[in-house]
Amino acid sequence: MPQLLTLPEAVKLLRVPATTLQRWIRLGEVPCQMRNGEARFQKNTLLAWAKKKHLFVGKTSGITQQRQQANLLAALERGGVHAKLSAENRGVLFQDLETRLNAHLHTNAPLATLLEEREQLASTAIGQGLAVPHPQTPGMLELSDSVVAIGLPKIPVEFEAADGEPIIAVFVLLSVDATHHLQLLAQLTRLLRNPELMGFLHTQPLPDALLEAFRKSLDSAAH
Amino acid sequence: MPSSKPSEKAWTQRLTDFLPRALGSEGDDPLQHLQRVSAGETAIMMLSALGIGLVCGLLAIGLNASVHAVRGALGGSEWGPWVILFPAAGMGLAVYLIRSLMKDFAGHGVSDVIQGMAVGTKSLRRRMIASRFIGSLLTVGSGGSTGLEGPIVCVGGAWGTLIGRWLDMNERRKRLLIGYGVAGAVAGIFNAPLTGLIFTLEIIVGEYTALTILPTIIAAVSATEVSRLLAGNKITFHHEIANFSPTSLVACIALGVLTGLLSVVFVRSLPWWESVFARLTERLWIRAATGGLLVGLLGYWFPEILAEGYVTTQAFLTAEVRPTLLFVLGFVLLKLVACGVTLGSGGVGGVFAPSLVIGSGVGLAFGMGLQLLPLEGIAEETAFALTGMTGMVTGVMHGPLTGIFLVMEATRGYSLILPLMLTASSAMVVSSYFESGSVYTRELIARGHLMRRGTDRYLLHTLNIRDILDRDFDILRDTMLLGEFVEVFKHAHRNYFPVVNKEQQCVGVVFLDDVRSYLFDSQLYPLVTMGTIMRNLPNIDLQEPTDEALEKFETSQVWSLPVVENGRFLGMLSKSTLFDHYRRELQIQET
Repeated sequence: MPQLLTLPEAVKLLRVPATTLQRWIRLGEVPCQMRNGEARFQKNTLLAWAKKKHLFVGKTSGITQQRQQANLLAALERGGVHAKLSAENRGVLFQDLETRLNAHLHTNAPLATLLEEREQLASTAIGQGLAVPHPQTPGMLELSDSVVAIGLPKIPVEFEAADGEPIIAVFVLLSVDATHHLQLLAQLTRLLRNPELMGFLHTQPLPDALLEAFRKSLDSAAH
Repeated sequence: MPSSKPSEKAWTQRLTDFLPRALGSEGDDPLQHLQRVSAGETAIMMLSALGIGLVCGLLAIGLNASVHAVRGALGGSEWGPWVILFPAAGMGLAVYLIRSLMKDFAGHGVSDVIQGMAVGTKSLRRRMIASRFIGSLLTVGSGGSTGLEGPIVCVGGAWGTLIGRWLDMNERRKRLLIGYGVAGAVAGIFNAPLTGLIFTLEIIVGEYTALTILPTIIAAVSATEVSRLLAGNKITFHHEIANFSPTSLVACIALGVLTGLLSVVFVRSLPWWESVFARLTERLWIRAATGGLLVGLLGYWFPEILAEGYVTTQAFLTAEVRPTLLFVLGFVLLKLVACGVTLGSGGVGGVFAPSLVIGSGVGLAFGMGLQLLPLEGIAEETAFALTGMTGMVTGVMHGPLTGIFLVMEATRGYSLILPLMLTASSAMVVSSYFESGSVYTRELIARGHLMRRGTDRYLLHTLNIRDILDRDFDILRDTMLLGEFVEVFKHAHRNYFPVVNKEQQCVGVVFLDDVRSYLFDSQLYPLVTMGTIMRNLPNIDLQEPTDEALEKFETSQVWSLPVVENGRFLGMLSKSTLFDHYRRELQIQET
């Protein structure tokens, strides 16, 4: 028994307005059967017809399909806090981050190279001893959702920051697409303007306490 | 594009525009003026068609007479078993001459013409006139089991374009002239002007306007008259027509089904034979010679299958000596094989004559079978031989009108029109159930080359993406920072920006909508690069067909896509510009 489609189903398949399809039925342009005054379409026939007429029935690649709003807290929780990173210089820091994050996220990405490439364009240091390193192209790590990982180096690292301050904490931003990238980056920089949080970061906090502080700060910002 | 300098050809331009200019009296109502100009164009095309038709008639009669002369010399019994070798020698030589000396390919004629109509007259070359003429003369003259109509259609079409080139005509007119040449060739060789007209319109042109119909009539009439002056007003198939009873009319529907099915078998057997011979050897002339040898062997035992076979058909129609049913069935079967071998091995010829001849055999066998049934008032079997011809031609060419008019004209029998119409329509519906196109077009359809003027595919094909590109853009580098972009954006008048990398390859597009809410967050300025916030869109390559480009708009659901050539960014193509030009192209081509 061939699959019979109703008018709304055919509308969805052909992606034309219902009124257009109804007009085609009336004019006899589209192959269909009438059952009790209602049009029914044999799926195979309809698809073949659409192909012959060069109508497009395939799936869209989803470029315009918006992902959900990025959630910074969830991204931070996914990323976790990675303390006591080797920090002789920026390269060593990135190497250690690569090892730790690949293990944490179950990925196998050349993270150090990607981060260093971006750093060559312009420093991702945002002042006051903080930096937001990220790969130049979002979505390269094939993560299911965006991740922000906090890295705390053993000793401050030189990052060519505009204010000359060495870096005491990095927020590695691994976003799944451009939209998330912008949203997370904006939320993060806004959050890091909070003086209380900044002060707390400089006290060399424990990982759990640090995440808790972010959670509180984001909660209060939401209310 | 005219190949010669305009100044050298000025007089031909003046010649072809003489009537339109003389008749289109300026100062009148503009629409009336235009109407007169186009009537003048039709008149000038009719004059050209007269010249084409006269020569095509000559060529057709020349080819027919030469083949008859050669057949007369080679077809006698005095040669003994040597006749086995004639087709091998003829076909091998034909293919060798065409490939090596004339540098042409040995196509089957009509498809080459249809392709010329669709993709451009450049594919119909002057050398085809000689190569197809000599090739078919050698193939059929030596006994190859095929017809002269396909090659002469190709000769006529090539002659038409040659005239067009000589008169320095534009592409549209040159394509029209192909049709006139075809009509002349068919009308000349069958002594059948209506068939020439109908075949051209139905099979070749597929467009019914004053410019296609009226000059085609002139070409058909002039070619027929030349053929009648030189070869006499011959009737191709003599037949005393009996009256058709209603029962016989019903039987015609059955015969239509039968010939429809057989035409599918015939059409499908041709590429099969081709693949068989393709496996044999790379050398084309050896292929043809081998095929010729096979045909020669078959012809030694069953000489009726050699050459065109019209003599046998004539015998079937007059039935002075009644052939046995077994003989007729054997003839149909062997003719199918012999024709497949001839064409599949590369012999130069067409399927027109074989269709007619096989159709007459099937019809006769069908009629003989009916006589065995206890039915009252069945028409005599020779009448079914005629309707069988119509059925077979219709099924093979997907041209019911051609089938009807050809048999009607070739026998000068209007009284047969009802059975012919019935057989043609049932053969057509059966054949089109199995085959989407005719023997000529199925390959073109498969390759996507069958494009008629005014159709979607043709419109898209004629649109040149390069012409409608939008180049007025601020192009961003992928490494540009948001802070720098803000400066660009201040003076920009577009809401999207193509992004290129170091090698000038387009890597994405930044949409203002995506970044608008972040533009005033100055903390982000040094952090965000264009590479991280652009959308990755599919690129349209300038080389790719426009319909594939359109598909990319559908899949990505964006209104504007970057166009690249060899990876380098050229500009943006927007859906609205594309459709703007599409509509204009449609308006131009609309008849």
